Amino acid sequence: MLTRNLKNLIQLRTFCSSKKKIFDWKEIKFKTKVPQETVKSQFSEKTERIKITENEIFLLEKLSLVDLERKEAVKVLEDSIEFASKIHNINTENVEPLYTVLENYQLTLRDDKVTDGNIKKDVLRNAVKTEEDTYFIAPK
Amino acid sequence: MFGIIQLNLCKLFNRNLRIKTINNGHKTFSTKPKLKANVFKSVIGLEIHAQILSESKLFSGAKNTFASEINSCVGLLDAGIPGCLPVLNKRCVEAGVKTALALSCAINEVSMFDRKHYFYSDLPSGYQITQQRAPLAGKGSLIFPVITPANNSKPYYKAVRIHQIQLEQDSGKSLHDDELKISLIDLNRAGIPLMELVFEPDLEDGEEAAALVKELILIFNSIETCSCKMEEGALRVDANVSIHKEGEPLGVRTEIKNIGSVRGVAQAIAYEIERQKIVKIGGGVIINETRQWDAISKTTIPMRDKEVVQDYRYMPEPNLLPLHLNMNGNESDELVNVKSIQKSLPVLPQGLRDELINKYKLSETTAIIIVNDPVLHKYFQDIINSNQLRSPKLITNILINELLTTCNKNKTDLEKCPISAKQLGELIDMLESHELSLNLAKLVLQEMFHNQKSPQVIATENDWKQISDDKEIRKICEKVLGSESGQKMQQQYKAGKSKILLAIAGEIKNKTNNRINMAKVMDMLKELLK
Amino acid sequence: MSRLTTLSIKQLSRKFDEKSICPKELTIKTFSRIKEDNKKLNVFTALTEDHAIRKAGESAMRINDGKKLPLDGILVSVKDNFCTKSVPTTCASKMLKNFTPTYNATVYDKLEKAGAILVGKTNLDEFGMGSGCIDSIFGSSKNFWSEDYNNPRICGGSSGGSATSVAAGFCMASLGSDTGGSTRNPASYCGVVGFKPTYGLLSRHGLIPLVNSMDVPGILTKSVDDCLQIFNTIAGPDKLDSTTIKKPFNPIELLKQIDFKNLKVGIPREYNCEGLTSEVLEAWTKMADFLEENGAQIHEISMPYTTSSIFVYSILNQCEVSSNFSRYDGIEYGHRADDETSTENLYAKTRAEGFNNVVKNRIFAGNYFLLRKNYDKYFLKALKVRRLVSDDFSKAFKNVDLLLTPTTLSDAPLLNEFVKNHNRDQCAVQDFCTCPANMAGIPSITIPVKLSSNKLPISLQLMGPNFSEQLLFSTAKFIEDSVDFLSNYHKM
Repeated sequence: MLTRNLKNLIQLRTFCSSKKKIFDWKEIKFKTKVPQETVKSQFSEKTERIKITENEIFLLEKLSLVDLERKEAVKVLEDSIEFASKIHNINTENVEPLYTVLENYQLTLRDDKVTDGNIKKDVLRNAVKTEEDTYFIAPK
Repeated sequence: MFGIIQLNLCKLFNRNLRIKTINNGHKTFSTKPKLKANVFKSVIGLEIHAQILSESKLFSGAKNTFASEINSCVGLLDAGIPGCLPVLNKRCVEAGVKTALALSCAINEVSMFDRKHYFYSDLPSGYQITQQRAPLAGKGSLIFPVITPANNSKPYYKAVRIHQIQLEQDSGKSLHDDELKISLIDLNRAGIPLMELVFEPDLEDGEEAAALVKELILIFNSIETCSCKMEEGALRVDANVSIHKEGEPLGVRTEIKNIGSVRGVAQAIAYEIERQKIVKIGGGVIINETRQWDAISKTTIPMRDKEVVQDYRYMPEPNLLPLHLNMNGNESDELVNVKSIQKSLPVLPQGLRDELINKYKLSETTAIIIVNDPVLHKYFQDIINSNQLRSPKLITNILINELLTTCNKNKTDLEKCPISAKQLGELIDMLESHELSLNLAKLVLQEMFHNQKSPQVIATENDWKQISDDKEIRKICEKVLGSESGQKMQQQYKAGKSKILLAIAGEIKNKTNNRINMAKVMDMLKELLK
Repeated sequence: MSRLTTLSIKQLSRKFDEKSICPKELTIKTFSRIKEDNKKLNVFTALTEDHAIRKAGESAMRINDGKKLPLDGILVSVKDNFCTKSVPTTCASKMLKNFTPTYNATVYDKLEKAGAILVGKTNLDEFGMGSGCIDSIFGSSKNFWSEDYNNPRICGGSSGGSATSVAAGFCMASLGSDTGGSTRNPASYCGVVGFKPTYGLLSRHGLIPLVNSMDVPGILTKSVDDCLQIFNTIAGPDKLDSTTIKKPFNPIELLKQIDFKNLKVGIPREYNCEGLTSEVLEAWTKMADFLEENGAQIHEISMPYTTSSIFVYSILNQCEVSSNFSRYDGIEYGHRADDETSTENLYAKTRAEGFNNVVKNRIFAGNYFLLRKNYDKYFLKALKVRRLVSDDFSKAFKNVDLLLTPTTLSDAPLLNEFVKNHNRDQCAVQDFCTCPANMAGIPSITIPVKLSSNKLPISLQLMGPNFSEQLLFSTAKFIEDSVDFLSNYHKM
């Protein structure tokens, strides 16, 4: 049944599309404005590779708490830093940082009313461990 | 106007510059006497967190309250549930602006929020939203009186600079259960709005710090942006303390946390200064560490969780656009209007002290003491306002010396004193008209503590009214002079023993059960013995 | 492909009115197809069959009573990083495998209130980090157009599941998210329409964040009309999201006629970058030509900072990730490791077990860049270059109305080729054409235009200035009508 409907549909579409021109992907009518060759970056691709120190690794491990295997983590990090170092080839003198694309908008303020809370069940619902369905629990 | 003076003072003020006297009306500025070299100087900087009085929290609509059922005032945002975004409470911005204006701070038209990252079980998001880089308000100053009750020294004024005021979130609470070896986490407090006031290290000792906190509490009470209930954690004071010798650079500082009262501020800092002195004199080294004040042992102890490894990685909060304020007073519903908040500022403590001094001609010390205690101040206002002719000096005298004593005797706090201003007013009138002597007035005061009766009624009932009528005094004097002992004393007086007058007066005093106007007795006797 | 799903939303809705199709039956039929075909494609992280059938019944009742809501009976899927009340929202991560939100994301809520029916949550790269839809605890999703499902093509990512669910006809529309191209990339590979709105027009409340300053909800559909209809349903300010623009939203209508004589289309030369295949280049060239043929002025322009977008993006992405992900500690929700010796140990073990390596490495790097000593050198510097990227667009739009570029550099790669590269490199190549729009916040739409020699979809991207959605949709519709890509589905 599906095949029959499909055939019908194709016939229907062919009928409709015979009214419409089938798109010609080959013919180019005008001198193209699309560059036909790869365009290289205007900026140097120079990178800087940094060696992470023991202290830095220790600090990062404490700040991240993700327990990555150290050697691999350091390599991936150093790769990331090297990749990121390309930004140093760009001159940003007198350029202000773009913190948010909405920088020209003002922060909307909320009226001081109690509109939330009193949802203890919802707040605790996804906690794996609670104390008497009342407290969250952390190790001492 | 006052703000401008303070700002100009800030420009002059430099920690190393001694201000001998600055003539600002009546106020006398001074610093401690110059210390000898080799003696330690102490430097104190306070960081104060004040919970804002508002209905709801800083970024969520959950209730801002103390001591509620566990985890009942928590929105999903406060629990760090993913996908929830912060929305800023207008009232908190207004409170921050009002506080900053009261402290003569420069208000920043545009301010931004940052994330301060660290892991802790009472911080569900793993970061606190604060304003580190571009805070709500910048530099300001506060001038306040320092008066130490202990040695009753002459009060002096201290100027302290404010570095910045920022809005930020409070964290939740973790309660340690030693038995189960777990921490129980209650997030009711998570997200409650705080103002952090960062002061420059311009203070020199614990008493100055306590006085600063006292002044702040007075200001907060008048502008109603913070309840200041230190016992509820609504006002938290951390002190940075260091010592150094004259001419040497600043010493390593320690941070003192967990101070729970104004007295505690003075005590904790005094203790820490001494502790550091002892260490240094003994050849030791001060470690840059956080210590907590233990009010029971009255010592500071190093805190267990030492943050040896820390970098807060401040990052602009991407979910909050820059906060704009309406600075120039034009109508705008959405933005917080700084000019109208400025207009709504009540008279601040210094203004109240100025009023007492200028309008009522009270001394500086008296003005400081009265304003320092809002209950006393209210009494004063009520009493003077119901009768402008009353002597301000007498009123304050009674309030400071007698009322407080009576409360102490009855083991009652001044706030709970049952004596009404009306009663006190009448008592003062009776003193002024010499219907009562001071000693009898004290008795009446004690009586009034236990009942609502007016002083007139009490005095009459107990027959404590002072005899002040001239005719009656003459009669009594003549009677005593006419008695056998009286005549003898007369002769002694006429023989040249002028001091015998006191003895005669003393007899009159005894005979009338100390209920006679002694000044008038003396005058009368002199007249009669002429 | 069921003929029913080749209908547009409006057409299907009319069939409901005419009673020639019943929403409940359609839903049941669709689910039997889903359960069969999903074994091959692995699109969903969760199916909501009972819920859907119940909702379809409600839709049917409303239609009978003449109280039809605009999207009654219309099946939709939602990427599994949008919070859906009482339906697990896992972000394809062990960390949130056990997380069931107690609230709806605003954009999903609006769909539901308009009568739309959720068929299920769709697969993604864990937490949205990836361009292939391969890094998921549920396994990789397969591209509907793959020649051989045993040697499949990638769907693209991170909203790969969403794109495939639409391409395979499991639903009429899907909500995805777009941070660096995560909606447009899989749309391109899967031959569906993918739309990224102006930042601030769609609420992010309930969208579990990746990079807050760039994330937007995205829409995937088979046609431009459908996409516009969904957009009009869910757009508008949200008081729960401070980054939505607070002006009231007026639903957009397509332009009746595009004024080609006054339409200036820009071709940024830098988008012919390393890795661009000749077939995509040809399609791009031809489409520019076609627009010119219709009267538009085509201008080659330069947007020099395009090439730096990708490494700026990598810095900002990693920094925001390290920040956003510090909340995952197992205490309030999510995975909790079995280690109660100390808070620090619990956190470390929970996060070690909960996150895959892609996530962990981004957290690690992000923390490095945010260290006080590195802040100016990397994070602040990246924000400055971000402004330069954004300024490229502002300058361009002073002279042109729209930009025409490729979406992805090629047709869908083979999975076994794709996995040979590290995640960062994968993204660097895949996101080249798409991430600049996220940095500037501007809207963008991708439309499939033809099939490659591998019989895989090739798409092109239109970008416009903020709030130019009307022109974008209208131009996209014109192109769509002209190329008639949908007929390719019948060859399947």
